[in-house]
Amino acid sequence: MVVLKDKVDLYDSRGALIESEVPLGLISPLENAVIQKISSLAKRTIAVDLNGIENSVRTGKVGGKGYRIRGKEIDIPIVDRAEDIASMVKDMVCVREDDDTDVRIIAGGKRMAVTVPSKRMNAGVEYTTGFTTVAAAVTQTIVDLFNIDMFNASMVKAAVWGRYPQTIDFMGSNLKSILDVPQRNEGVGYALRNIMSNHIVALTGKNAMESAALSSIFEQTAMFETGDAIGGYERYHLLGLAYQGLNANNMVYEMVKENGKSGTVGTVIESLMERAIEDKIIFVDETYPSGFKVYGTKDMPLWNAYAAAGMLAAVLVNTGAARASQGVPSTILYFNDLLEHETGLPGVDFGKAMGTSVGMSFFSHSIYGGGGPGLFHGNHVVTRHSKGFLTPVIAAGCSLDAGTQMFSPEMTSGIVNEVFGVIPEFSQPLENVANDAKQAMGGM
Amino acid sequence: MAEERERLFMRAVKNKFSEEPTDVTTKFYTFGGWRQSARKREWVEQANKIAAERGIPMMNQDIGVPLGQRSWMPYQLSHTEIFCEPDDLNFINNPAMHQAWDDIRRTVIVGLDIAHQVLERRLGVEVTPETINHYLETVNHTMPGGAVVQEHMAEINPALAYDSYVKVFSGDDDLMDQIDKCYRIDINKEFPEDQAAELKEAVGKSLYQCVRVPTLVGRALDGGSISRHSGMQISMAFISAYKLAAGEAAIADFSYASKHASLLQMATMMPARRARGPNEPGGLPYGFLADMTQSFAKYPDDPVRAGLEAVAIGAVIYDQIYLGGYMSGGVGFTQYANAAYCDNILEDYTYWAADYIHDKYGGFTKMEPSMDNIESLTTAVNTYSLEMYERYPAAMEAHFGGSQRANVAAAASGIACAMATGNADIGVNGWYLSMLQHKERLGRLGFYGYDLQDQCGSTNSFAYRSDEGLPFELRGPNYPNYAMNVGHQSGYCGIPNSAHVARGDAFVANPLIKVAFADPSLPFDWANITREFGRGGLREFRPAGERTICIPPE
Amino acid sequence: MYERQFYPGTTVPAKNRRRFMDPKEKLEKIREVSMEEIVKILGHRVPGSEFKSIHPPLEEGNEPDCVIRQMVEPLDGAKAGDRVRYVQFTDSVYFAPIAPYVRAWMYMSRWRGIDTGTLSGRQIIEMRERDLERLAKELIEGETFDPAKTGIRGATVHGHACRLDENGLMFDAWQRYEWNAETSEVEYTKDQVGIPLDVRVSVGKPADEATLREKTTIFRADGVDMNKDEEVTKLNLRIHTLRTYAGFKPWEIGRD
Repeated sequence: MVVLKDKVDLYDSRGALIESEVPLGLISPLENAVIQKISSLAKRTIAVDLNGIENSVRTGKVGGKGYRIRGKEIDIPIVDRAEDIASMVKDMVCVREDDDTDVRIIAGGKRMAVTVPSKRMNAGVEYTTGFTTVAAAVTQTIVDLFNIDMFNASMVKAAVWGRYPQTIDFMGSNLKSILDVPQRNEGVGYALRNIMSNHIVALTGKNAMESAALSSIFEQTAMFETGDAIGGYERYHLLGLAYQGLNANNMVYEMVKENGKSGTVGTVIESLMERAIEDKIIFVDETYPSGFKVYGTKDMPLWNAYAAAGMLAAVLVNTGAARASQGVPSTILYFNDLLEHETGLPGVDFGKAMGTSVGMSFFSHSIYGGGGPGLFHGNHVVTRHSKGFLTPVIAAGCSLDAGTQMFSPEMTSGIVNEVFGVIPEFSQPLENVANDAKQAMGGM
Repeated sequence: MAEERERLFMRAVKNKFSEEPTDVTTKFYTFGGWRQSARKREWVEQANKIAAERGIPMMNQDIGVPLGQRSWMPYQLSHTEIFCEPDDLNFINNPAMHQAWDDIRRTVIVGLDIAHQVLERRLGVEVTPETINHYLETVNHTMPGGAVVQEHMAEINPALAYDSYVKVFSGDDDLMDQIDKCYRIDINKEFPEDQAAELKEAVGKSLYQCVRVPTLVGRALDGGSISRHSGMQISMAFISAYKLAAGEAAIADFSYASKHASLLQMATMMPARRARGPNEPGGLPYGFLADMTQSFAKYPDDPVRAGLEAVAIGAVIYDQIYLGGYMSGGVGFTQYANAAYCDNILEDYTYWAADYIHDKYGGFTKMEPSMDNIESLTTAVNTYSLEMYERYPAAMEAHFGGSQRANVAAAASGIACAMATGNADIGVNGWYLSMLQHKERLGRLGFYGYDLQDQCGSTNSFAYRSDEGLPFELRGPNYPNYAMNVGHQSGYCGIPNSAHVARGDAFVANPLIKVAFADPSLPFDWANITREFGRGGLREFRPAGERTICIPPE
Repeated sequence: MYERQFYPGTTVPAKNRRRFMDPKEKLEKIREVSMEEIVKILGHRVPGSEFKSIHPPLEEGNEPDCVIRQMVEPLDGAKAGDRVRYVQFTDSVYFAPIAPYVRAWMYMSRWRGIDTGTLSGRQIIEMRERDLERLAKELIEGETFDPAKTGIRGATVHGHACRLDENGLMFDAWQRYEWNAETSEVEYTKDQVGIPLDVRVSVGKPADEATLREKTTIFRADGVDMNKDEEVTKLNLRIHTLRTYAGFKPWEIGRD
């Protein structure tokens, strides 16, 4: 059992104290009930576009872009019967009457959010059970409710499931999960990393601090699942979650406040250095003849957490000034470059944040692939290389964009915002996680 | 300052430019643009003719940048006397490069032991050298596309599949002596005595088939088809040679053995985002490609050459074909790659490094592994390499892109550390230090995303976490940091080769692959890689997989 | 209040790097190029025309309730909704005043709201358009720009590593700039992407070699070799070493 001695003060997204001296373990994915609920809801909650299904079967446009099957169109009032559908789906999905199944109608029947009961998830090993359960239930419900005959039922199936199983994923589906199919994960344990930054922004309503928190929660939880946050590395990742993701000790907030009016990446580094020296995280290890001080540390994981917090602050300041997210990778890159030259200590994630941002800069500014910053995430081949410390910064920076991106959260993540964004654990994770930790302390 | 001696790249740079290699100034804009290149003149003529015939415009040198505002450079294939135009080294134009890749893709190694056990234990059929020879005769009928069991079969034209065959090898000399000569890859013949002994011990007493599926099958289909074609034709050959039922339960064991249990593929499949099946370049680890090179077998007294040959094949397979073709496409990547195998620039740096290692450490593998030593050796080699660019403007202009120079200097540094210690992981750590020093020194490095992996690399050199740690011989283009950016994997192939050659090892990672590619029947000569690329550029290389026999004559 | 050190080192290139990175050090203005001429070279709009917008002005009130937005002041161009545009420079290895990464370090130290990217043959900065124009003017007029060794080029950037022409100018395949033998000045006749200008824009006389070497930020064997600056070399090695060790057991570093 890893013993953690660190304690942090937790604040909300506006810089107000929630609780002091919180043991680091209480914000761990292994202990924090809100973080666990976030993971659970990510698996269990599926958005159903009832309006989309109705259009798909009515026009024959099922199975993805460009597909149109004529002669099998079905004209049925799905949106009008949303309540009936919701009731039948709930009946099919729940295991017990009083379990944690939830079905909600949204947007006047155009959308439906279904949360599958934990009992179903715990009955097997796959995380895709949420999607498959809802997809199967919605399909059967529509077939039954509208008496679709067997010769045309496959159109309902395709409108719900997409082109699966011809495709490995659900291309053309009118259902949406936050997570992607396992076949699209880059490596083992990557499921929670496969959430586009734009989705994070949509979930939090473009709140930068909350976006950083939610993304950090997903990323650092994934680090436990990949096997990276084990043993000596457990503390390393939890400190990153605390200081970068959860604004521990109000550092991120204060650094932004100090530099928000006219500061640069360079001045954020000054703010960071002040704190790191004052808090005795770093010390002067050697002084060169020119007077240049080279810094050392006895706690590299904690230095990394400080640097990660500084990196977030730098992005918030520089990208915030531009109100344009395109500068996120550049800011990450040069924050780290300048920090290393300033201190003689390695940058965030020991060069991996810098390296990843080199690649992200390239792939967000060239012909070779990639796209705008909002499309990246921890499962993306370009941005997977820093283990948990980069995506929170990307999400936060994307939140601050005022509308310069073609592939904006509005364009890519509308249903995510509509259906998932009302769930408080997703929209305000910072406070919810902190309050759970506070509560757990009360019980100690 | 580096010792003064004749640089190995002098001939190449003097061939490129009329000025002295140390001159800082030259002339521009007066060369007639693209017309100074014979190849481009040829192409403009062809393109005009094609455009007129087909009624759709084609290549037009008046569109876009006016190529040829500076002196058009010929390229010397390193450690040869061959000069080519750069266009001839675009892999699309170079049939030798096609064949090198085809030879990899169309190869699988399939053990015979399990199949023989099925015959003897499950079916009670005796396996002897005679029956093995008969089987080999049969499989050399089926593999190129001959039918054996069913009536009225449509077969493959032998002239289209002449490059397809099955040979065998084993570490068991007694067994091999009883196999008909034409089917043998003879370890004793293809390797020096010491290497042969090591390989035979490593291969062991098992008998392995080296299967070459027709080049044309790999081109019409893909790498994933190779083990399937091979498995089908092997199974049919067993049925025919051993007079079995053509479809009883035991046959499934042949199928399973030849497609899975006894199968060694050259490359493994890729993840969904860049999905490819097996035997495609993304899944080919550096240790395997290094083992395919045969320089150390044929030139055992020149270990540095072995590293450089691995760099050359790595440049073409990984940088030009994989990243430049499969992942990227278009026409951008040739020059990233050919910097590493042309003009004897890397040659100069690496032989210098070898001399330095002998002087300072008393020979290969004698440097004590430590960060201080890595830093000291890398600094020396890297400084020499970068200094050459600075002292010889012609070399700087020959490697006009920062990514090219970064690749070459880091390759020299990485190979040096690999040879000095015999440890490829230490080699690649030296590579990454070279990159950091280069960036600091010149205030520039490579293209926009070039150093993603180089900034991650120091910390990932000796890591042991899930997708970070991996011995360098096992890494390849699917190692996450390496999956995207050109200008590295040529050197990455050279590093493990150099480490093991320095140790005197007969193979880098897999003895089966080392032996399989010692096969003299292959169309591509794996002991003389740069020479083959040069021959391809000069239109002297005859590839397999041509369809001439079944299309109307020109 | 912590004060940045910026960069180690005792040699000329190190000191010059430090100077460029330090916002307290004023960049010397060397030449005058009118804003109209700058705008023409940039090629993003016709001088005098309105700035094109990519989104409505921020004051129209669509910003979400986000404390970071409340704390971080947007650029003028962000407030107005300007497009993000660029200026890009190529710096010759033959002692151009500044080197690509030094540009990035300098930009991130002196300016805010920027997106900058670095390659060997070009270095780009993207910014909201009206803010970019001000920055571009400062850069083109200032000491980081040399008419012969620095190029303003948006595409086809080849030349940073080529030998110089007979007048000491860096190669440019599009010949965006030309040598005026009468005035000994360099004149831009095309914009960043090679579209001909309606005027010739002089960017002045190139500096002589002695001046360039005095102001250089590049380490070279025929100038100041990096190995001669012990501090720069040592710090560089330290980063590599610590990164390497940290990839093995980061928690053990500093604890022996």
